[in-house]
Amino acid sequence: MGIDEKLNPGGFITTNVDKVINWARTGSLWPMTFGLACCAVEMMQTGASRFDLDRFGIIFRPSPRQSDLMIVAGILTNKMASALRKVYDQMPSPKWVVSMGSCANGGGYYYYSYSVVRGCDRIVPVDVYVPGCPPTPEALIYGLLKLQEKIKRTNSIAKKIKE
Amino acid sequence: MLEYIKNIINNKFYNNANIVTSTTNEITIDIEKPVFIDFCKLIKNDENLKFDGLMDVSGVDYLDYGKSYWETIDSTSKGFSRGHKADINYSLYMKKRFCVSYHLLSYSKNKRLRLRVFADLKDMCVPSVVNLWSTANWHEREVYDFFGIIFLGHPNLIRILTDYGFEGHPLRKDFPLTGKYEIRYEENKEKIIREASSIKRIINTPKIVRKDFRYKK
Repeated sequence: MGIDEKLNPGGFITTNVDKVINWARTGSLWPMTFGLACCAVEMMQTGASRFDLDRFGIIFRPSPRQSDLMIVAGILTNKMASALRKVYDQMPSPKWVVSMGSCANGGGYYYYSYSVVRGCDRIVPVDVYVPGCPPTPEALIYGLLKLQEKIKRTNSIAKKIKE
Repeated sequence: MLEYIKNIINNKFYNNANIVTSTTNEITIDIEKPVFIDFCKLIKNDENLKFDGLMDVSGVDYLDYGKSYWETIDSTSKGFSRGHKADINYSLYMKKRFCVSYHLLSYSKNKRLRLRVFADLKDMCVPSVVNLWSTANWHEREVYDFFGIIFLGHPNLIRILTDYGFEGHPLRKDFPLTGKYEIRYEENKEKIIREASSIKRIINTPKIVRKDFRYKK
């Protein structure tokens, strides 16, 4: 990145740039639509008019190329795992993953099944786990706000200069 | 309709078909494998029956059928889970372990019918009805996937629901519930790898069906 060279010794400017970058990132989280099971219905409900994810700038995208967040909503089966990883790999960095519901968190109800991945963190790195079976829209919004807090803590430029 | 079918069976399929009726007037016909396709053709094309809709094809595993494990007085250390017992006497189920049932609907007559045909353990074969009802294509693939019953004459008998490279037939009674492998993403190889399952096989804690006053008739 060219911006690193220009901002090399300066301290205070870079932190402010980080703030601007994080403001932009948290204000327009575009999730990849990855509904797998009944959690997807709650995810749709969260996106619909009553709970309205649009007011956080969260707009569902049909393509991994346009999205920076993946909400794994539902049970992840062995057959679906490679597709999930492929979609995750297709997303441009920086990218985050929210695991929604107890099935995606750790197998949940289907923990002992023969065809199920016991937690989607075996396949992709997860940032926020939202508990519930399924989580209510409020819970999902709370998880997304937690993710925004997490993104706000990252220093993508200041960290590089420190190193 | 019941009388009509009885007539057909008495005239043409004597000794090869058996009618079972339930208390709710559902009709099930147990039919022998050699005459199965002929019978299907007949009830599909007969003017008074016209069973031209196949609603569902499903398999049944009758292993340990009719034994009530849950009515015990003591608790057991062995538990009641699936697929961990070693003392199943398979020779008892050679003829009548797997069956395939066909749920038929007559659109014009508004009647329903269930056919049942057993597959021998020796060959595990049942004739395919894809040529009669084309919807049977995926249903028969599903039954093959979950029970391992082979449908002779099926155009494309491959697995439909389970994972690619899956081994075994998961809805059989002697299939271990937790399966044999689990998968995870390996960072170094950058691909999803398959490992032997790390969790212990689940054996349910035994529940006791009490024989006290609540259950007396």
